[in-house]
Amino acid sequence: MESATGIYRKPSATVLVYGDITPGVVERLKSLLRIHGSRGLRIIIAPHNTPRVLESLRTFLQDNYTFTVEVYTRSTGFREAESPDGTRDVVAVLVSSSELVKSVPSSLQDRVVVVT
Amino acid sequence: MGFEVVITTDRTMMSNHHGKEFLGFVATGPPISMPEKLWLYICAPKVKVDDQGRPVEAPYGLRKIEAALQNAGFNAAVVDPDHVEKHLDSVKAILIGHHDFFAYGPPSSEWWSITGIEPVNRRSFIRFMNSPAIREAKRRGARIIVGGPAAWQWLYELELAEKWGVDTIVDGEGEKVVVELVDKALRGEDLPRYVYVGVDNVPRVEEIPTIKGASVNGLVEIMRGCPRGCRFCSVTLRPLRFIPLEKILAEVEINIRAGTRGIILHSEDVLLYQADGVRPRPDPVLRLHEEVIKRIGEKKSFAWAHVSLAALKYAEENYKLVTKLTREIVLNEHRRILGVEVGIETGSPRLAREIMIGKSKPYPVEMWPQVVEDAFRIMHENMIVPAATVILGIPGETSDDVVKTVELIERLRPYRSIIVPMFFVPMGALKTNKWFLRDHLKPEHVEALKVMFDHTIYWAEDIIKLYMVSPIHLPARLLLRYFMAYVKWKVKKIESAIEEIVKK
Ligand code: SF4
Repeated sequence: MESATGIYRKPSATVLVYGDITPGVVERLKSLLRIHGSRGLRIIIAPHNTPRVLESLRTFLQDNYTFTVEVYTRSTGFREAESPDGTRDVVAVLVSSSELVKSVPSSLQDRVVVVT
Repeated sequence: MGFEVVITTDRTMMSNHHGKEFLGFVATGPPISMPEKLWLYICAPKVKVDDQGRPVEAPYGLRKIEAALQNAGFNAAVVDPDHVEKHLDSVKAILIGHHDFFAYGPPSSEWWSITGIEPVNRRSFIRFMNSPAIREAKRRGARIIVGGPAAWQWLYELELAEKWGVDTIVDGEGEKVVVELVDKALRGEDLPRYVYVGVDNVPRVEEIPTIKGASVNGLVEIMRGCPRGCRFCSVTLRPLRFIPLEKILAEVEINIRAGTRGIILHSEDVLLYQADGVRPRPDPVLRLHEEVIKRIGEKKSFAWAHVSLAALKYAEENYKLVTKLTREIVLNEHRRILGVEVGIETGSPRLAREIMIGKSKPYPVEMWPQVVEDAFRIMHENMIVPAATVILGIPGETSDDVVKTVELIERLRPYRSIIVPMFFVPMGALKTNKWFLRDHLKPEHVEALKVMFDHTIYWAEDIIKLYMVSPIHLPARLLLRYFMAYVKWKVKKIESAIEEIVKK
């Protein structure tokens, strides 16, 4: 929406996270933020338990002073959790257990990283 | 017709604190020695509102968000917390801002950790979130977005966020992102749980909107950001922006028209307005003050939010700027003092080098204690009354650092000022109510606390006399005196007990 205040630049890099926010996932998010942060990072987590998700991400979020970061949580799987702009902007799909890989849509399989 | 977007906060924020910004700090303490209602009377009296519940004065940050949303065409307004219910039929988004939602910031966290009693601001905010109007708005589907300088505190209170149905936590300068979020909220779209506003999304100076209504005690921002780079401060990571004079004066006029008692120039360092790096330039600072004072006249109050001690020393020694500002422009028989917050933080050059190497610039960091002393002398001579902070217990601090701080504070005794300790309290530690300051104090900390307390009590009476001159302040002045006497008595009582605990 346009305004006299100036337009918010939406993040254009998306990371999908499926499963738990393990220390490995957090480490990987840190690297992804370093690489893609200047585009702004949208992190979509599914399925979720909101208080626990944000708590696990607390240090990661508080260590970032530079880049725009948005965190979304979804209660169902990847189909809903895909990037709103399609798969184009999805830079990684982090999966916390190998059993969950099969639920990742085929269009995103090339970006799956299993991080335990 | 009601508002679709209600911007609000709890009473400790939505108040003009009897026209005395400093009284707002009283809300950071726990309600000891008198009923909470009386505390609230001292620190947070209700504000005047119109028939839609819009306050005459509101926190500056909320005013900026209101302006951004109104400029973008939303039916949005700041509403007093007691009047949210008037908008239950229309409200679709409630935006809540605060400086210290859960009392985890200084000095609330210290009071809390000393006494083990929840501070008034936290109690008030929790009451507000549980209030029937907010609950009913949520039940009817309103989205709740929280933000402001204390947004980070929500990451330590996620259960409460869940319980109250907070949809989004926004950390960082909000003027641009709020337009996007409210647009989504009103369309019923998915909202992010958390947003950090990066440097690419902070508004450029021309994108910062002009407030539409008066701010609490006429606070007007003159710049954003700070070039000094202290390790413990996030302000410094944002780009430095000077607000153009015309925009500042437009906000001054909005406040004066609304009848605020005066103006507070807000900046992390007022003397660095249009500065050359960390070196103040006299012309823009003089012009700014002349123009503001011309608009507020002789009788209205005037204060600075913050100034750095190094800039103050430099400005006076090179241009006599402080003397010119106070004696030729600001002070008169109605404005007898100029209040300001300053940061001493430490008296140890070693620790200063570690945590705030830029704070003494353009002077070398080794000179820091001398910079502080000189600046305090200059302020005293020019009737500037600082409320200074000192940080204790920061990781990496040694006993020798604290001793140096104590020595410096002793040397500041001749200068009229308030010195407030800020004890480093680890985040999240207070929530369980099991973290007490007394368990973490070293003997030299006790000495530092005593020296600061003695200094402040020594000057308090004199400052209250100069600060609260009007007869309308009499009740608050009497209550403050009573409170000070109580604190003196209480501190005497617990002093020896703390020393015993520390020895053990
Ligand atoms: S001088 Fe103050 S505002 Fe500037 S970086 Fe240091 S603490 Fe932050």
